[in-house]
Amino acid sequence: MSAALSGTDVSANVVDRSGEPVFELHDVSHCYGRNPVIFGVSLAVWPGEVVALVGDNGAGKSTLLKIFAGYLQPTAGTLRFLGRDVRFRGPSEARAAGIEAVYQDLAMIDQLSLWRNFFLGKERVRRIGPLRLLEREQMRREATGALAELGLTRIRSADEAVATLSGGERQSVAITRAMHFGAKLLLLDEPTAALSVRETRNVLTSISRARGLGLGILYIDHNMGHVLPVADRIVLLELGRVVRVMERGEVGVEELKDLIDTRGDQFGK
Amino acid sequence: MVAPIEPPPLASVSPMRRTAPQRSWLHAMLDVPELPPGLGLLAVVLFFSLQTNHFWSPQTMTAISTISSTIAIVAVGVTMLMISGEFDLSVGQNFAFTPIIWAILFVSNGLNEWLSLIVALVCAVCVGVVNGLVTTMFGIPSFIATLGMFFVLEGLNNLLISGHQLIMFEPSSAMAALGGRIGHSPFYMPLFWMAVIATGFWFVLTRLRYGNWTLATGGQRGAAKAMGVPTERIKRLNFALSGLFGGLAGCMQFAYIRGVTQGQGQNYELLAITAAVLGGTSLFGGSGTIWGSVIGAFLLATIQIGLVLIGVPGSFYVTFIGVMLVIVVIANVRLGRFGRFQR
Amino acid sequence: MATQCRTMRTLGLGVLAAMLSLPMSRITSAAATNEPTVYVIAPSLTDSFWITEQNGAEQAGRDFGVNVVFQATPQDTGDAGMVPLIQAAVAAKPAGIAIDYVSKTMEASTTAALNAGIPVVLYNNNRFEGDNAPSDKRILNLAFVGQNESVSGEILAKAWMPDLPSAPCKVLIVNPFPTAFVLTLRGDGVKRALDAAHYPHADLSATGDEGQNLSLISAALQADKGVCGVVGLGNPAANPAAQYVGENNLKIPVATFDVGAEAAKRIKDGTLTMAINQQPFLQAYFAVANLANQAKYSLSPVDVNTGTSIVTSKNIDTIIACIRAGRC
Repeated sequence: MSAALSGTDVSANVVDRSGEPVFELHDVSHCYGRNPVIFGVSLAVWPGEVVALVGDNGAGKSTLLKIFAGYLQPTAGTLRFLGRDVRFRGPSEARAAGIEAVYQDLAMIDQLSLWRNFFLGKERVRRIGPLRLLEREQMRREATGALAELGLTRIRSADEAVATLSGGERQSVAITRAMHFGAKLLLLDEPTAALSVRETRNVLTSISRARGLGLGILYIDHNMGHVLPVADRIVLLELGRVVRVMERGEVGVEELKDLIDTRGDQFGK
Repeated sequence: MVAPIEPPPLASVSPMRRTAPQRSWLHAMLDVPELPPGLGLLAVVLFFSLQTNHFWSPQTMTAISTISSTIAIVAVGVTMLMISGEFDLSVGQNFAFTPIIWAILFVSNGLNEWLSLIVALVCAVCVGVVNGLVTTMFGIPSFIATLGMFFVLEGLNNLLISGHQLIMFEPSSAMAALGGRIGHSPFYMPLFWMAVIATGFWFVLTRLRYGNWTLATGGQRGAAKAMGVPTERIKRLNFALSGLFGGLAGCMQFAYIRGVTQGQGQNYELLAITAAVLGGTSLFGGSGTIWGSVIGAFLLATIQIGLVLIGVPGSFYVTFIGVMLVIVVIANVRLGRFGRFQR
Repeated sequence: MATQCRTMRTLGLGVLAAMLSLPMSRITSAAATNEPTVYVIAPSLTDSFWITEQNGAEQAGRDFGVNVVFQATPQDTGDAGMVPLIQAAVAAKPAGIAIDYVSKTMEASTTAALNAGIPVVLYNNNRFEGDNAPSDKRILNLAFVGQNESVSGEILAKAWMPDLPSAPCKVLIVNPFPTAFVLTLRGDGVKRALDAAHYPHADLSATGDEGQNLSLISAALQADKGVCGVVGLGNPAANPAAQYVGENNLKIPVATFDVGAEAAKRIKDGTLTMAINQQPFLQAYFAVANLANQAKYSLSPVDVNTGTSIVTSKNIDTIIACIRAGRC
């Protein structure tokens, strides 16, 4: 496994944690209705750092990511973005601040063409009074340009359907979309799930590139083999609590897997 | 605006074309979603023209244009709503409710006709707003919420007019503006208003950000919401539009016929949805075309009137429409048009 | 892939075109005959009253040798539905058109027919009163086949009153289709006769569903014990009333308009006292007869009062036979 992903090995990366983290959660808790799911989580992501969030099913990883993305508002605790306390009332506010999320199943809308998907929620418009006129040609050009760098040879123009893209291509487009809009924090929910080896490698390369550009990245993954080559820090979440934080090189793949399972046994699952 | 970050290019891959490749004109034409219903309409017109030499008479033009205009205006609102993923089954009752209010205010009570019209249209919008609030705030399927509104309005209509008819034959500028004749042509104002409304909302759907958001909301609400699209607000606005156009079309019919009963508009919710589906709008949301719905409305009207012209008994029309609707949906699904994307 | 897509699209259009050839056979057979064509425009295709009218029209077509086209909207949308059908009929230039003149809203299309030189006969309704008075005087002179609804209401009430206890006692008037304003006219006629004889009356709005109406009527009769008679403005209102009265052995006479199969049964068993038969069959029949004679022999159409035959248990058997034949 590590041989196949060797092109993404960046053990030389050193994270500078002297400044403010890009995003920080302080003692955050969240309830779904009457069910508490997150208990007092504190977590920070620095610029140029990749933080991997791991844990078994039901640990609360997706919920935590949605809180980061402004999709959910935590029932307790504070959020700090670039050193300032914030409260996002919705994803659009988070996006406006520079937080972009790529969800596993919420990446693209099949019924829209590529350029419409690319600019969804951040359309280039010309204001005429109360009307927002789409700058269609400009968006087509920008999307074409941005996607050309990805080398998606099967696509002929930004007018094409998103439905013809494979899962990995969609993920890459979504990540490129996030970076195109000047994201400072990138959130990825299971980006490599159901991807082929080559597609996985492309996605991990994109993540490294984003990290190299100074973005903070938080991502959730089930596959420990995908986590270790890229992550600078690994946060282990269990039943809504942070139980362990590990630096790169502290643990290997098998040990990590055992940790997740062991914790599960301890809590009587 | 932050300048886009240019990521370093991946090695040894050919870059994507920067301009759209040349496509054959046939290919480009076949990608136009309004083409199949347009050709269908052409075929129907051709058929009836050959069957009878009375097809192009002024009376036929009047009959077809008045029916199709009213259906089309309702269909524009219903189409916008369907594209955003919801249904409105109350438009048929709103079609009677709004002109009943208008007539009661200015015919029975002598209030100013324009003011009464505005009040009536505000009521039409309120119906839509209530539909929207009930659907979005309580998470009830719009099918059910608007069905409930259908019965509420049915009861209200009965309370308001109790089986009577209100007629108004005195000169009235408001009625002339909404339903009067256009010069000496066989065409009436509803046709003009339909053209204005259809053009306007074609523009909204394809050229404005609101249109993009409507498509996204219906295409995949979760993804749209995650990208920051205000999906609930979009739906509520489209419900209001559907209510407005249902009521406006009803007022136009009152202005044209010059009488209103509570029976007018029966079935219009189904006719509008049929027109939209025949025109290529998806039942599942996320794709649709305004001009397609207009073509669908013309298709319905032309077939109905055409069948009268050639002397076919009345029941044939409804059966025919039912069969055609199912065949068109099957054909669309197989052609991959439902799942069609908006360029 | 591209060619496959293209074939699929043409397939879709081909299916559409194929469907359009369906009415081909029907049309050619109709056009083949040399009989004059007469259009009858009605408000509803599905109401049993209008189905009887259609039977009458088509029988007249056979008897008088004309091709009858009976057109209506499936839902009763009233005048709004009929106006475009009349316009289309005018465009088809037939030998004559029978129009159900429900209000002044019908004037424009009727005038258009007359201007096009097409003979017009009015049937079932010719409402010219008050605001409905047509500006086109030719319409007033058109032959009319039918019976005025409110006059029939008066006739029924007057024929029925001997069955009621002496005034004043309350009569309940039940309307099964508040939508249809002609029922309102019937009710108005009944109320006029009742007022003249000093019987107070109350209204009950019901539905087209007999089951629901049974609950509504039983509630109304239990709430007001002073009701001494019930008039159903249509069968869906009168049948449940008769059922309730019969099941509870009440001495409350029930009268109704039109005689359907169930109403006929109830007249026979005595729970329904009286019905007035509008003879819808005759309305469309004589309307078509008028137009046929005009087309073939240039004879002017004549007014026909289809009469209002009162149906009681005395003559019910004849009526039942008539219903079975689809003529009542």
